[in-house]
Amino acid sequence: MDFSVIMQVINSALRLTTPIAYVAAGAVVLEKSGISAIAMEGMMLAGAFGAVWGSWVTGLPWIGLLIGMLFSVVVGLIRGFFCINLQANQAVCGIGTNIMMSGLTTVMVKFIWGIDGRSETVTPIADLNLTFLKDVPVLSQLFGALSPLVLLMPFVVAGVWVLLNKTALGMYIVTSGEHPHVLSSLGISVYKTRYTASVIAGLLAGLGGAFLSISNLSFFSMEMTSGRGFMGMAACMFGQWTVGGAMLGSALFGLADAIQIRLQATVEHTQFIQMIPYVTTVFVLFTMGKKRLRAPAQGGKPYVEQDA
Amino acid sequence: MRFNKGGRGNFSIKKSRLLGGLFSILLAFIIGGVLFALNGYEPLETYRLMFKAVFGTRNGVLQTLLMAQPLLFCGLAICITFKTGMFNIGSTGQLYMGALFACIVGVYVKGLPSIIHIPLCMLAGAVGGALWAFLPVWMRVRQDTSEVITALMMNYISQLFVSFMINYPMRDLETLSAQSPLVQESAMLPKIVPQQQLSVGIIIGFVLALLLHIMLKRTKLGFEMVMSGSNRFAATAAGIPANRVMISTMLMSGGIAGLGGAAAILGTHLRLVQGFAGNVGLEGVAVALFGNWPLGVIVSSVFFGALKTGITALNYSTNLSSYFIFVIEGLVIIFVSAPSLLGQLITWVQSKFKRTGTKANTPRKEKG
Repeated sequence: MDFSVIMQVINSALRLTTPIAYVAAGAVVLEKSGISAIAMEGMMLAGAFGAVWGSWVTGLPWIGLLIGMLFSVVVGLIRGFFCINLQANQAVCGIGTNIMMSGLTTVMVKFIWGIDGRSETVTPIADLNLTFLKDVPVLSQLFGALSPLVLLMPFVVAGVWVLLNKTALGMYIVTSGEHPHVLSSLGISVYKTRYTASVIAGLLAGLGGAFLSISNLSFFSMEMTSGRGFMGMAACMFGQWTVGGAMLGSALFGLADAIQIRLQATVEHTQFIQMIPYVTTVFVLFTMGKKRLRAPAQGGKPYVEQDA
Repeated sequence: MRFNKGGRGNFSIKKSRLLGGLFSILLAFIIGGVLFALNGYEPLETYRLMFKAVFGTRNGVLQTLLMAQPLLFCGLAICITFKTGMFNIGSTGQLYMGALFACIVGVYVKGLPSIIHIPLCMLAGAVGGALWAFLPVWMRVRQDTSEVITALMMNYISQLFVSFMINYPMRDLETLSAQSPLVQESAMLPKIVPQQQLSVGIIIGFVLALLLHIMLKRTKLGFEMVMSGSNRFAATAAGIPANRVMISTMLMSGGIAGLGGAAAILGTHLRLVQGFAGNVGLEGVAVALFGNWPLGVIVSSVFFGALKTGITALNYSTNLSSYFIFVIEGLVIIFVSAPSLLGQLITWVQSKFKRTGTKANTPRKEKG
């Protein structure tokens, strides 16, 4: 096994882990607050689409990124409204959101660009070339040319960790997922807390989705998230609903994805290789067994707030 | 806008559901109309064209039933899991595996008369689908892993597996595209109307719906299923083995979806083609939610089949992607998943007009 190939795979894995990691972090926040993160797939797709549209309209990819995150947040809030205020069945509502976003983004693509299935190429977020690393042997291959969103990822994730574990808001979020009545009795609105969690999750899903469309590539193609939102959710479960664990899970999926892509060039029957990430997900969930000690007690259960 | 938190207003659940479903269709059409208008198409005219294409031509009606067929099977499969308190999101994968199994038996088993070959293929399809449903429910029963994620992953896996099969082992070398050989003539389902694609598969679906209706309402297993779904604790207290019911339901559900795959292959497509069923399992969720009970799923599947036909017809003349059906289905799912929406909306509207001193309505009991 050639050393440079390994480096390539790791570099690739870093790129592929990033969207899953963003989504996984968002999933942790959302699930901790008591809402099922199953709609992250749809929110991610909205982010991917919004980023491309924003970049296309303004010509500035970073504005596109912000618009993508905005779209994501909007979707998250709408879904949140149904789950929070109307006590909808969260799994069903989430699946509906995903289906709707898949349809809506594809419809909008055809409306706006007239091509069935993908958008025009837009200005992407350019990879950062870390030129000062150019002469360092190993690191240059690993980190030489990386998207800024990849480099941003550890900081954002660390930020989420700090938010959840060290701030008051984080404590409210966690409590709203475990014992929402405690929060209510303190006079803090469970609804507002969960909405805030939805916004945070939306921002993160938007980051992940935007990465896929304007950083990894430079266009939007229909259903381009291909289950990565679900992988993010699985990573969250794998990590026992902790940010650190979710990152580990994301790295696992990213690596599986990178290996899968690399192997495609060498193996004839690529379909089995393409299955690797999905099989990995199932396997991961299987090996977790019954150890769901840290699952939020109120995960997925609607909560009716008494009138204050 | 303050919603009456937690109450359902004056509406009974049943009315809420039906009206909620209709309301979401209406809303979806409104949104569609807005999208049309934004793009320079006149909404009402567009809808009129759609209606004409679906109901005004013989082709439209046939196409509606054709589109309804896989939706019916998947809808039924998902419907029975809903009734048992589960959620079979994997019916796409189960349908594909059922199609694969049925196709294998249909293509490679030769020399059997139709009367034996067809049921054999259908059985193979049911087995294939049930097999695919096993892992998600087993992980749910054994370690409480959500059957939703497992089944979702298996959807992707099954589509890749089928792709592999039709690209390599089962590839029909006489044609250019990647597909399986035609199934034997003895395995083909008879057509309802000659020269058209519609086969008796849809009739099989209707019969299946009827059978499921009878099962749910009149048999012991059906009773156990519905009890488990509405109140698991009461069911367990009454001695109903929850795990066994879950497994039976999921396997049955997978089998139904597998039958749907078999019917699609033996009746409609006659060979295994890439992506022949699209994302039918997800669409089935909308169908199942809208229909609620097996007989309702019949109506629901025909309704969505009509929608799909109409939207595909529009695809040719306008800029509308055929994916618009997913927008409608997604909206239906979202709105039906929140049955209290309509009740609360009406309550809110009422409260604006009534101006009583107290809160407009007190929350009613659950079973309205």
